[in-house]
Amino acid sequence: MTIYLDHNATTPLRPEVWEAMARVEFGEEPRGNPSSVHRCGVRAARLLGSCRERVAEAIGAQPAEIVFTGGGSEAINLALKGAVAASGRQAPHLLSSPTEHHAVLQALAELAASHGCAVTLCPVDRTGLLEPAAVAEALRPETLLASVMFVNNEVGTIQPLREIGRICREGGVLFHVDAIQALGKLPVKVGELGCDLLSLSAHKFGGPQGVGALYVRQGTRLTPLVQGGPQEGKRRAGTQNLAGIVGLATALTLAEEEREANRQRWRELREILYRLPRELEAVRVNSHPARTLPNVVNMTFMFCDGMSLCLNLSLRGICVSTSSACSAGDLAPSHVLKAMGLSDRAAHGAVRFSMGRQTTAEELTRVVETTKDIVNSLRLVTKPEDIGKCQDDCPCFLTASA
Amino acid sequence: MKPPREITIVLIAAPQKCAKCRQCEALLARLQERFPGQLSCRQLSALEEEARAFGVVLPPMLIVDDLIVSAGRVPDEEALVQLIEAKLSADQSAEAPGT
Repeated sequence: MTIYLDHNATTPLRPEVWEAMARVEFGEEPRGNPSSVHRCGVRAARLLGSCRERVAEAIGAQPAEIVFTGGGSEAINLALKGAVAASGRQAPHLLSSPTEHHAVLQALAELAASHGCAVTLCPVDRTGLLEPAAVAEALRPETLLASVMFVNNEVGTIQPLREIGRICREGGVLFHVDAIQALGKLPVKVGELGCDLLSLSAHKFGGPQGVGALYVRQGTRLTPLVQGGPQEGKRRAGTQNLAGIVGLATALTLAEEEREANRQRWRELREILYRLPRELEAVRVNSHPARTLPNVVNMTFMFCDGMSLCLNLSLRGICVSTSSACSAGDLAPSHVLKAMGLSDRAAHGAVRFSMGRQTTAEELTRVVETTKDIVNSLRLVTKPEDIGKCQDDCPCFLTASA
Repeated sequence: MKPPREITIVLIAAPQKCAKCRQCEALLARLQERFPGQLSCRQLSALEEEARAFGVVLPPMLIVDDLIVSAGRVPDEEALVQLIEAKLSADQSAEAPGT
């Protein structure tokens, strides 16, 4: 039996969501294109509209402010690139933090290369927290946009977005929030955050993969990334993924209903995982002690390799995540943990446990006992200087099981 | 009396073996010389179905019994010897009469 503790990577599709999606695809009438004028098209358009209303209501927005996309990364790219392109400004200044998701960091790098944008990544503290004062200090007269994640995907640190949003408003700076890890787990209201743009993704809260949305505050100018049609208020061309959007809206409704109960349960359950630093030597909890989403526990097991630990847990039916990534024969330490000041070796020893709505105490107890056994064995055969090393002479490749 | 259990060592190598894969092969040969008759060593290509059962495969991967000792690198030989000796002595204690 698999114990799945990688819900920050993706969550299992909920059966209720699958049923709602199946009704779209296999209902009594053919599934129409929402842009068509016949009865099937009109039905599809109505369904799309009701989903837009549900998503808008969940985040305190207006339906017309919701743009459905092909996932969270697309929403982020649309927010950042679309806002820069629509501004008409030459080489505007952009502001973010080094612990953002690669979708943000790589979009910013692309904007620096293609539009000459100057990018400032405000430093975070040792828990991954971005101080609002650092944002205020980094603002320039030519700053166009700031992009900050609500909750960090690797360590779970919750950023003080209200304060950052207020600073951005006062500075006349567009504010984009990556709420992909927060939605369905924390209250997310665009009015309270003071944001102009907000990205979300369905598969992080029990919905399908490949569908997301971008909130665009009314009046915010945005140039589409994809041309070819007037869909989504001329902000994202292409026939909408209707079943996916129904899945997104259904999953979001369910997640919002269960949000507080889940958070309370995760707070209790994570105490089981916190046995690890008490019962094993040299284990560091990398998350913020208080401002952390309780479904995530990120720990460094010193004198141990996170990748080896992750593989061994997998062999015993336990799925967790390591932040180190194999790339062209090299193991790159997590950019998040590095930005938090961890050494390469400590970052390579990190493992993320992320719980879901169905995680149980029995599962976590088994995870703790199994992790202790594996860490003790691995520490016997791991030389500190080998941690995270993939050497430079290997055409090493990564292959996943079929 | 039961014959002593052999310790299983599996090396998963890249199809076109890199320098590290070859170093792991040599390491296995030395271990077999050092522990004659006590190790059951075999090699798999990373593309084989059996190798894929280990999940993500990062060759060279060395698995001792059910422990993935290293992935993407050559493990430390002395540390590996210590692990094998610890396993052999644990097996002997478990099989000793009256224990």
